[in-house]
Amino acid sequence: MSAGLQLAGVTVAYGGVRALASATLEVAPGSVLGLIGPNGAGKTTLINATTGIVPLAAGSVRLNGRDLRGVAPHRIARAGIARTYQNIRLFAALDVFANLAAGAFARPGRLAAAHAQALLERAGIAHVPLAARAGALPYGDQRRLEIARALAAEPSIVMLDEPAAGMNPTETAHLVDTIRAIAASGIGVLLIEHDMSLVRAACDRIVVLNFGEVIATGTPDEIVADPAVIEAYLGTESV
Amino acid sequence: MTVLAEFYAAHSKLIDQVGLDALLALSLSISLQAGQLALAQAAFMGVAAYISAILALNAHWSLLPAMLVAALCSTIVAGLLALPVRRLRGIFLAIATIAFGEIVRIVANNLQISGGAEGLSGIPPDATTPWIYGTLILVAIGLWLFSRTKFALAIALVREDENAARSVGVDVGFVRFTTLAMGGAIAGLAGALYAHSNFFITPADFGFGRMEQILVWCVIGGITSPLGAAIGAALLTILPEAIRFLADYRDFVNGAILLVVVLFAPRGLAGIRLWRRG
Repeated sequence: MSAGLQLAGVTVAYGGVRALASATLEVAPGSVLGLIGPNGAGKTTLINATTGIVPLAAGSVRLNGRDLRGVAPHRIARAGIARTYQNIRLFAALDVFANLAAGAFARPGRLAAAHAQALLERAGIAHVPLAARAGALPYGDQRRLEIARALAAEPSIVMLDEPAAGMNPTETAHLVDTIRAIAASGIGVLLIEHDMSLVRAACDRIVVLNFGEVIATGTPDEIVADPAVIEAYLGTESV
Repeated sequence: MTVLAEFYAAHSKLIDQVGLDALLALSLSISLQAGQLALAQAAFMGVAAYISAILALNAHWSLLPAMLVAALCSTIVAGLLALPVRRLRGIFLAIATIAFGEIVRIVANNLQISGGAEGLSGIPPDATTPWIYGTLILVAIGLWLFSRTKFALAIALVREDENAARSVGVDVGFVRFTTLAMGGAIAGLAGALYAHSNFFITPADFGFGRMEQILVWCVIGGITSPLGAAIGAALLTILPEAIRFLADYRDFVNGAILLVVVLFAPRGLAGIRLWRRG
């Protein structure tokens, strides 16, 4: 049995469309794995398959050695996989503290205010008041509150679905530190992102998806030099 | 004291009705707080009303055991109803639960043991004001204690976003099942008390008209607030008496109030703030 998250041969089909074809990857504890690829490549589908929202047609998902295939989404969350959403899904009508308490729902006991404040700090939004309504926060703060909510679960794996979307370059630069600090605390991070400077700075390894298939796996330097990746996703600089 | 005693003597029927209606509003507000438009409260109430009446009339049970067994039965009925409707949401859930209510009414209309369309009469009227308000207070205290639990948080999360609730570990199906069963229990208590304070019951007492009334109380009082729902029930039960002089125009006034609340205070009376931040 090995620690972390292992996906092996994960296949997802929507009707006749194969959104993921035999995807294999591994997120080790304390590391950041980048997942990149063109729109529609199957990145979010991979998160949805891992968290049990969409069923696997084939393959296996293992967390710390435990097989999660066919396990209900709320049980997968309790097993230690937390996520954020590409289109923010906070509990918008509830306040910041309630959102963090929601994140800590599967933890025993109650979320203390001091712990809630510490979560905001880890996500880089210590200035946000716990009593503020989540839906009223600025966009960037909402994205980070989603990260804080995910951390509140004390997960072994966090999946971040385009956390920098809509952030300005300064906010994005801060996000690198936030993500590295999450990994440094022993959590395995799966990062979906289009911002290649963020991906290169934050990730230990990168997996590239195209049309549902893994076309490359390697370190950031290997990936940006890979001809297949350049062809499918990164493109060549126009001369 | 004599003034109070005279007031009670003149209005005891209305006072009892306010208490029963507040219980019914509380029972529906639990499902509404979970974002579930499950409209079978009148049916749960009817099931319990008939069971407690039959236990009293045929087996000479006293109020307390009859009420508890009746509420247990309506809880089980609500729990069983939760199974087939577990994948239904929104208006589809509403239609299915209303249809269930009609089934209960029609069954009561046709069974021998429930007295058919004429219903049952001669039920001992032992559900007095202290019984009704004692039950209401116990239920209110229970809900207040419940509101501080993690499960109450789960209910709010299911209302806000079922998928996000799942992703933090909430068992959405269990929340839906439990809220419906809790509503069935409270509606059952109200139904048994109703039977034992009215001398007779008929299937028409538990039809769609009753269900629609309960929903209107909750909408006017505030869909996400149990206290608001109870206040809405009290106001709208007293109002028709207070505007009795309007005679035929009373329904018009009721409709106008509903319209004003939906248009100008969509969160209901409990959502009205005298002062707003920002």
